[in-house]
Amino acid sequence: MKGVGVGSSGPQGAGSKSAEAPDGRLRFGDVSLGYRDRLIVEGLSLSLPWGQVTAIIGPNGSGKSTLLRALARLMRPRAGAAYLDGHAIHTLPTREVAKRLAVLPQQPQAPEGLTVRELVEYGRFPLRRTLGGLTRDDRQAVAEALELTGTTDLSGEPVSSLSGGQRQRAWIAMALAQGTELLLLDEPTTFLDMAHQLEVLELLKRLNADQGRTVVMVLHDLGLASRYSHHLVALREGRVVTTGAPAEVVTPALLREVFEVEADVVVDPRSGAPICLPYAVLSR
Amino acid sequence: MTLRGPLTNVVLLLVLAAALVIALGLGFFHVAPADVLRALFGDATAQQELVVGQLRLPRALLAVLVGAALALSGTLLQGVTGNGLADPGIVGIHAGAGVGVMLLLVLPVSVREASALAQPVAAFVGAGAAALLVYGFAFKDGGVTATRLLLVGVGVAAGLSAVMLLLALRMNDQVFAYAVAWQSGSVAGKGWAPIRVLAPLLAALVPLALLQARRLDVLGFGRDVATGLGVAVERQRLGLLALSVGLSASAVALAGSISFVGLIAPHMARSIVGPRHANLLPSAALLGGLLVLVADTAGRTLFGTTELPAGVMVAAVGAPYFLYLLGRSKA
Repeated sequence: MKGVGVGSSGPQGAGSKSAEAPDGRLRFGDVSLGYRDRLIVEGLSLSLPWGQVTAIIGPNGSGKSTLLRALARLMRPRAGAAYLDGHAIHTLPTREVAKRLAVLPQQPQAPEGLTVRELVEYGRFPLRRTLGGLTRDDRQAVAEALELTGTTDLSGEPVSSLSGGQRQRAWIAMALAQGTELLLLDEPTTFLDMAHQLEVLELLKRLNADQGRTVVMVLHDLGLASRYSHHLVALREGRVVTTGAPAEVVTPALLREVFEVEADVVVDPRSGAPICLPYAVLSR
Repeated sequence: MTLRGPLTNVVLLLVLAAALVIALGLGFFHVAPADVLRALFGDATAQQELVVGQLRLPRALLAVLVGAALALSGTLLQGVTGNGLADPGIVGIHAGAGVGVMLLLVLPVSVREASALAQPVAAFVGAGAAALLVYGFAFKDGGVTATRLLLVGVGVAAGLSAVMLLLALRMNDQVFAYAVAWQSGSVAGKGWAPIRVLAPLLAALVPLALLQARRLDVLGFGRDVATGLGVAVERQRLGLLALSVGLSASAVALAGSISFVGLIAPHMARSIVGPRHANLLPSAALLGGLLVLVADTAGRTLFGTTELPAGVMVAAVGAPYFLYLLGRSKA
């Protein structure tokens, strides 16, 4: 699997039995991304599977977040584009995009004193008119989002008083209230302890399994990424090294090439997901 | 949606009305509140009507309008920048207006007194130009960040103060004293003319600000979340900044630089009605009006024959409050 060339469209991983053959609804076409004078990603093409959970993995500075930000139109591509159903996302009216995809950036901040319910209600912002209160649809979507994320009981609490895991669930509830099929999350588990990490990822897994929402997230933890996604995209220095099902992607060879570690890969007896056990830093 | 916010604003409106009635009665010629009402609605002695209706009413109304405009401006600015220490003065409004007026004052008398409007127009143009300068310098990579805006604002304000000093050196004592008096900010003795300008302006801009309430809330989440929710962040920021500058520049053009109101009123309002702008904007406006009214009334009644201008009175309370806010803020 190492060094698979990735075309701008067409199925990946031909010959594998995995069901994630990307269908082109969500893809990058020859995209170049950068900040100021630094180019992070150059001429990258990649399709992501619709209706599945995808995790973008890679070492620090590999361009994971940059790629997700481009998908969420939080940054404009230097060239090329990220496409949703054939439309270059950054050229669509931003409010229309907000009706199709919701994004949870890293470490979002809520104004002091805002309650969980109020926060989640702002998820309806793209669907509301300038004037007037919440409609019945709005209320229902908010109630559902609170319910799904288990934050109904917290809805009267100020966001600032919540624990890290609760806060992250409240933000996910806000993104859910947007009612989009596509959810993008940038490192949703960073700074959470183990129980809260699982809590958040179980929630995302449920949202995908029960509601068919497409999830694309950046994850730091390779073990969690393998266990909770159908599809992995491994990045290094702005290039896609390989993509595919976790069992195909997480191999000693990939860990050497992408993460520069020597590692054993074993199979998790419970989930069947690959687990990587690094034992040495690759000497360069 | 609770009723607490709207109810609080109704209460604040009643408090402001009561304060207005009391303020109109206070002073060397004392008028009881009941007589104030009678004078306002045309059933009092000629003397009461003159003092209350002709002398004190325009002054008090101007205080309320100026305070409201500055408070709204500050609330918008704090919302856009996401920084609770932002004040219209920080984007160079006061210094810009000051330079505008002082440039006018160094011109020959025939020019500067050609029209009663010359001075407010010079101040407004100066304030607007300063704000543009700040925005221009702060613009980078397709937008402005709050931090850049505030830092550039401080720099530009300092530069403009230097220009004012330079201009002051060219003035004779009398003109200089006038310029200083203008700078200190006052609502005294201006009659009805400024109200005829400011009232319609506020009547137009306030609904415009209120329509932006929810968008301002969303901008408070920061650029990424706001974009995710479908707000065109840079365009909205620019529009709201223009609105904020329009409000404070008008106030400063008509009453001189009354500082701190735009900083303090939004904070007071936030502690009463919370962070949502639909409630916050009206409360801040009402509190700003109340603040300047009380300051001006105290300034003209507390110190015997000496009158202190409203700007000085507000600053006397505002400066310590600002330091208190700084001490309490997490930054």
